Amino acid sequence: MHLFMNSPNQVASFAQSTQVIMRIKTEETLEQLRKSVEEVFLIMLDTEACLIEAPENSDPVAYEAAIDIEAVVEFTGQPKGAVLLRATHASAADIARKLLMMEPTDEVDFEDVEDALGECANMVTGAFKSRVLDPRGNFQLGTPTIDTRVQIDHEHRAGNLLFKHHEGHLAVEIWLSEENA
Amino acid sequence: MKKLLIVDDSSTMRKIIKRVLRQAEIAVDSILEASNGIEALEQLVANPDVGLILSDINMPEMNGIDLVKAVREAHSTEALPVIMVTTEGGEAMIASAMSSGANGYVTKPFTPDSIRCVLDPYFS
Repeated sequence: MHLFMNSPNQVASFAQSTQVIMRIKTEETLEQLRKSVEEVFLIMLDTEACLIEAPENSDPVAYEAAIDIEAVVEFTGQPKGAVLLRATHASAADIARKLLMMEPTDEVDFEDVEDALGECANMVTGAFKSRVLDPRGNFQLGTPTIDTRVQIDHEHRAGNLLFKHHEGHLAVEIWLSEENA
Repeated sequence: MKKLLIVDDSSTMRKIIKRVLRQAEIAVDSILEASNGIEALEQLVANPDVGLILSDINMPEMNGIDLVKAVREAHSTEALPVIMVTTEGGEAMIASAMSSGANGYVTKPFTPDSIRCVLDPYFS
């Protein structure tokens, strides 16, 4: 890799951003992501999200196939990246019911399910930004994108967590641009 | 009693805020909704008696900071209070919102108590 830096400020800026990347890979950062998810679920959904380990014999292909809906919120700054929430439709519908204080048997529109998972991603990313990113520099959040499969423009998956909540599972991932990895 | 305008691109969040207002026993005449700053300004033209705005910051079309700036061109902070309700909890963003003319700031996730604390002065 070749680097061309003209001023002490550029050198300092690069060193600072490199430090940020190193920190964002630490377990402490994933711990803060875990706390962000738990906080959102406890306050806004009135339910617990418990970190679990993926079963040792889990089939990655079957896991990928089970995902019905994804919501992503991008953050820009140094580094650039995204927080991605992934769930089955049943799990996302459960999140929507809890957010909207509906009964477990209530029907929930697909639009509401999408919007609720998007808002959940928004709050988790906001909490993560406050805990991890804001103390390290100037970062901006995007608006949530929700789809069956969201296009991720970042090449490096820096970490992932799996949670069990009221009636389902939720995967939460952090992605970073390759330029930062 | 006031007419209140909720501005958020998430319909889920607008429903949650309405529910929290009921839980917090905040008495309002009616609640209007908008999904971005431009829709909010259109609502204000159609409903000049809106007494308070609760607005998100990160929204498409026109964000919450630009909405506050536009509102302040026509209304003072006393005449039309604007409270930001947002995931953006960083000091820089809070400072930006307040210097743009916001009256208060609540970060998501929030409890009914945190909404009540910020809104009580405007409904007492």
